[in-house]
Amino acid sequence: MVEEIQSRLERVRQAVATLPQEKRVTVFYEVYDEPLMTVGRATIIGQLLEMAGGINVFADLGGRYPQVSSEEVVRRNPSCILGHTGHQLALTPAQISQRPGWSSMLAVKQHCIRLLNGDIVARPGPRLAEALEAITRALYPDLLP
Amino acid sequence: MTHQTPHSTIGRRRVALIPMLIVLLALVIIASVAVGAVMLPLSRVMRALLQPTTPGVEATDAVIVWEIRFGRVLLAALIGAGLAVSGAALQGLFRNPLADPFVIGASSGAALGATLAIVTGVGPVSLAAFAGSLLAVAAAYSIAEIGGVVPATALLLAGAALNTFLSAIVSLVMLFNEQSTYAVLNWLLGGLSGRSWPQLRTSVPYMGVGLGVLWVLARPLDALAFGDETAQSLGLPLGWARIAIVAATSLTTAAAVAAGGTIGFVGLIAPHAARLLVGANHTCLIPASALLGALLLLLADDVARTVLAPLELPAGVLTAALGGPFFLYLLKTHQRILGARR
Amino acid sequence: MTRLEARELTCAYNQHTVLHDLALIVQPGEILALLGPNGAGKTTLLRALARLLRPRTGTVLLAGANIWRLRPRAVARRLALAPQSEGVTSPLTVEQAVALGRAPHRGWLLPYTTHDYQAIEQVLTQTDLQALRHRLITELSGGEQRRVILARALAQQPQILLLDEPTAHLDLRYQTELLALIRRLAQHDGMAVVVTLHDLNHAALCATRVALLAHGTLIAMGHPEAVLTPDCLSQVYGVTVVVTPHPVYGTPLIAPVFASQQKQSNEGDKPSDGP
Repeated sequence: MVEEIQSRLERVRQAVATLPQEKRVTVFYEVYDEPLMTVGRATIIGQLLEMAGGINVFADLGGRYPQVSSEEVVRRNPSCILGHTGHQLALTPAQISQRPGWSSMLAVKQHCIRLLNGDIVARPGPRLAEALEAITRALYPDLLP
Repeated sequence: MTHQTPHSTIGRRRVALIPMLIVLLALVIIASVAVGAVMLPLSRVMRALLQPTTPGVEATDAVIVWEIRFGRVLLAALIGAGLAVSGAALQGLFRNPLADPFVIGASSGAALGATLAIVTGVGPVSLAAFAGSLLAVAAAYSIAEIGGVVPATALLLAGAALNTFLSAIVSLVMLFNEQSTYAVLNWLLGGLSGRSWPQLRTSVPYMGVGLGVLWVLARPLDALAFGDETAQSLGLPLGWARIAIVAATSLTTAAAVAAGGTIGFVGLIAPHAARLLVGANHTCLIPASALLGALLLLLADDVARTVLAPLELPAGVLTAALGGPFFLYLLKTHQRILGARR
Repeated sequence: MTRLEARELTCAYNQHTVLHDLALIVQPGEILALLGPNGAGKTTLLRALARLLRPRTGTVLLAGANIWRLRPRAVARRLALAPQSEGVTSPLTVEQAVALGRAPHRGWLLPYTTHDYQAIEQVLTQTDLQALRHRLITELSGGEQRRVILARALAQQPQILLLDEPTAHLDLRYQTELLALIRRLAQHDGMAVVVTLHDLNHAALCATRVALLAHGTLIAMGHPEAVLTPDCLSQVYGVTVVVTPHPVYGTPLIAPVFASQQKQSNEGDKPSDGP
């Protein structure tokens, strides 16, 4: 099974490698809404984002799940917003885009707000490959077969 | 003896402080808009405020100023004012300098409502907090009532008991719902992160009514300061006055915690500072408390979103951190006016 | 005519009866002094008259109407109480504290009018508080605070004034001024005044009638000369006294005599040796 996971990961990595730099998408990954939390590089999701070819707008922050201000997200203007659904997170893309000031964001204007399945993404484990594939498809819908 | 023209010289010099405070507040509001995770020099702020559609004005500037910060700053001022006036009114009602807006159960009720909403995911958290706050105060009131009369001390005790009890329930709920702990704690600490015009629009009607009623009740509050019997002998309908004060303060406080969580210290300190500036006459004390409360929370929120940017601290942490030492200083230097010493 | 009347008044705190079946009438222009030892029920009677203490049985009538059927504000416009003590915690200025006395007339919500400020001025002058008007009441002496309480009661422009130990804590000058003020209010302004006093001589000086209480019962009521007699006073206070006419006013002047120095009643004599 480990081999299966590794081969799936490898396939994604190769597909992502073909992406030219200017096509790379800036991402804001929302872990929680109140307080507004995102992922740092040292987390599984952070690494998955990198592997999927996304650029975490908050990659410069230390810590694992830093709290950030709404303003800062607006300023960093990501082209895509990702999050995951779960028990407490009954968020919809509509709710996110209605936040004060967010309507001007690239991600909202381009309708790139994708919520992934929390069961797959939020827990490390055997479904890691699934998670990576889900994130990659969210960022680059046409990249993977 | 000089012949006085028969109009009020009552604290005229001190009343003049109020327009000054209004001007100060306006300036601080504008300055606050400049401050935050994204520091904007004042020139860019003014341009964004006055000419948002002119080309050359950074697009994100205008968004940040208009859609996020301005609303948030106004909300901070409103919440601060509401908490301060509630605190002043309850200090007058209970003749107790330690009273604050949460003393009759408003905070623990809101906390329980918010916690349940966060944990179950049912309903908007602010609405649950609002309802919880009002219900808790109503419960305290009906517990304290004996034969149509609600003695002030009984209400205070009922509120304290309810606060303890409901806080315990909140703790229990948190214990059994670990994943929500962070979110609940964040709400409890109180803050304006992510809040702006929507919350402002919802709060204004309730706060407006509450604050208006309390200002109008200035003279009854003055009379109550001398004790129930004096107030009665001056013809004050004690029962109605109490209900009105409790209802108006709970409405204001409920709206405040629904919008910003349980932000402490503002409701305790601002009235005392106001008393030092304009005296104990409630006709002046209430507007002065409102202005000082607004200033206090504004400053706290400014620091909260700037000092560790882009991280945002909860404003409630800062009101306590700034307010605590300030209050101790006041206590040390002005004991008599605060009523701590005769 | 606004008169105050008590009929068959019985008051109690919990199970303890403090006033027994009391009756009295006070007319405009009268000064009724309530006298008696500590615990006789003077303050209780005053509070019952002021609509603060509900009687167990009996009624208090203000101009013929049962005081408890009237609304507090209606009563406060005609009747004012200056209590003996108040918790003074709020640092209002003297002027602001006195101004509260206008609330029964002006109401609780509307700003005061010129008429109200005129009344406040007059009252501050009457009680000699003009010099203190901007001082905080929490910083005043006990006597000064009493004058503020009195001023507030006067600001109500009442027809009936109830005073509880108004001369306590006042020095001789203010005591004398106060007694003179009470007489003026009754004689010139036609107020009915009920005042509890510790000092029998003060009562003799200003009262038109005197009521002597003991253990919650009315022992005697009438003109000072009739009530303030050695027999009556020794019965109520358990002290021997000598009563002589005041050198200027002719009102009774009560002089206590120490028990070991008892002499036969001999008006004008002073005891020859010291104690």
